[in-house]
Amino acid sequence: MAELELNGAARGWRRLAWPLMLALGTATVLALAIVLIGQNPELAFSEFVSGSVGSLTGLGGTAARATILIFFALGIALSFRAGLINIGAEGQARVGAAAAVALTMGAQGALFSAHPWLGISAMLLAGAAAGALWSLLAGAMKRWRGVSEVVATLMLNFVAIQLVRFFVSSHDWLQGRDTDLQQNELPAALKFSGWSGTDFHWGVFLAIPAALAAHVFLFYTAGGMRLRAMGLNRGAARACGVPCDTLTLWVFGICGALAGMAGALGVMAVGKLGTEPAYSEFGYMAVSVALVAELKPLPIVAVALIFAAMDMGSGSMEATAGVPHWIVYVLNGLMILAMLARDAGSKNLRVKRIGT
Amino acid sequence: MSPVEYAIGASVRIGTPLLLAGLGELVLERAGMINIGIEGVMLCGAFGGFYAGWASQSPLLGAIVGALTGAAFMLIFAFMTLKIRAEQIVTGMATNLIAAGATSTAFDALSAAHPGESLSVPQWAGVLEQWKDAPIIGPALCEQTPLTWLALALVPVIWLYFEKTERGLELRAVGENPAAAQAAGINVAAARLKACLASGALCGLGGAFLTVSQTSSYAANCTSGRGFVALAAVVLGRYTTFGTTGACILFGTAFYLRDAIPTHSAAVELVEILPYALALAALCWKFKSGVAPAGLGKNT
Repeated sequence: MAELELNGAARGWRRLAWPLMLALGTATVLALAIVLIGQNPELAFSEFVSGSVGSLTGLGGTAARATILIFFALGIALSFRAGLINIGAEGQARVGAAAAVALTMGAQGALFSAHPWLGISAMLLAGAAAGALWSLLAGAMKRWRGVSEVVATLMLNFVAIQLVRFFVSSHDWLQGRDTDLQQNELPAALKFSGWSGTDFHWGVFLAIPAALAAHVFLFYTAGGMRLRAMGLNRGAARACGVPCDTLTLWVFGICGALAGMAGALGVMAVGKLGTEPAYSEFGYMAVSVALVAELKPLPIVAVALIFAAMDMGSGSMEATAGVPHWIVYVLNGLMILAMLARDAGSKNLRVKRIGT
Repeated sequence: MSPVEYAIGASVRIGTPLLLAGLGELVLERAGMINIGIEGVMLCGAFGGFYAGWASQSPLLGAIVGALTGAAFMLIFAFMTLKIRAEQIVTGMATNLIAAGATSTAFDALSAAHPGESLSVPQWAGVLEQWKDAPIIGPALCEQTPLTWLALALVPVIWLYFEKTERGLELRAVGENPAAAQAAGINVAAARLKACLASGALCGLGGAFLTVSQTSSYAANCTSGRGFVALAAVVLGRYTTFGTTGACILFGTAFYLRDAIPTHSAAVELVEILPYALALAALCWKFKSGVAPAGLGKNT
């Protein structure tokens, strides 16, 4: 009995050791880089903390960014688990955001004058549907043409970004601005009521149930097991009767719906459809979130909060301590490499095997 | 100089970094690897080239160091994928992030250390500057820097290497079926490492072209998506040397037209879409006319 407990404790310790090493390594690299470029690490760290979690503004921004990251990373985790490398979250989010705005602006605010919750859920649904359709474009190419989903989702990202930019620049009403009527912004009801002037919005309370749902789906339902089986060995899964082709389309659809919903939330948080939303480049950051969380939905929430805090903190670090926020990109990249290296070193081949 | 001649010259200039990076990615993909982070390799080349060119006030040295920086940076990718056997796509994405962060941080630190100075590389003269008034070839070739000539010269060289030499055949075999190549006595890892280094040097050179030849200065993320366009060019060129070259020239011309068209026009965004839309179309079409009927509606 004692031996067993010891064993369990040792395993628990080992599970904790890796994230600790990762955190310490990150902090060391960050401090070294700051010293290297001739700035004061102490000041930079205190700015980092106050900008991310040490102030109300910081906390609100961290929560808002984490929301987007959670939605993106959940979709990425589901598709990586299914053996599909869908890296198109950002494009799907932008299409979702544009569709959500187009719906409300097209309805002339009728949805929101009926009831704010009707408007909000309509926008979320429109975002999810558009994101899913955009993602399914890549899914269809994969399913019927055998096109690599990596290339397809990557290219569709750029198409989406430019397409939305085109619509925004050539259709003022999509931005919530009507030049003839001099109406500005989207209806005020769209903004989730802020928390004392910060970026905080109610989307956070949607992200956590989404993570719970993904967790239950992935580990406690037959569908989730089929999905994981397909990711581990597509041939074997098919032989056992898993409808791999249909499942592939479903995975693309769900992944796109999650990202599209995040896009709609992003619009509702700021009240306009920008060409450079706060979540640009989050599509790639979300991959590191998903990988660091070992493609598990519940840890994704925690990891996303840490990454969002890093993103917020880097901004204030740049503003006051003169340390470029670009350093966070290096840290993100290094974390992904560390996760890949660890997985290759251990017997756990999940991340290594994806896509093969 | 007539407008047409000017357009040709500008298209060649815009197409050169795409061509260099496209050839780099082509070499890598023919060896059976895909690096979606060549944007990052280009950035490293651009910064390395800029730094050396500025420090030594020599664009030639800048270009050489740019190529070396690119090759050195590709060692990370090679180590992760060949030694640790990590997934290539995710590795490429990670190295891309590292490159974007590292080069921008380094440039911020560099400009902070030299406040008020404009950091620039001396202008690189054209190869045959004295003949720049010649019709068509004047702007298209004589006025261009040696890097453009090198890029164009590399096209037949790479084609000959892949199609007519035993080494090139071996590299293609490694790309088509690594296990069979290994069994036939080819050292797959060594061949792929060489492909990585060559690809890194080419992409680094493509990035360095931007800073030592095209603009003489550096800006954060100055490659602005050219690496991804090069990736699309390889796909559209169907993984052939001449196809990739043609695609790069096409995109170079399209980007010139985008810059020439008045900016408020909506065509700007649509031209930006062009490379990716064409590449996607080529992907779908290829599978239909080529291998695809067998794969059509197949229950994989």
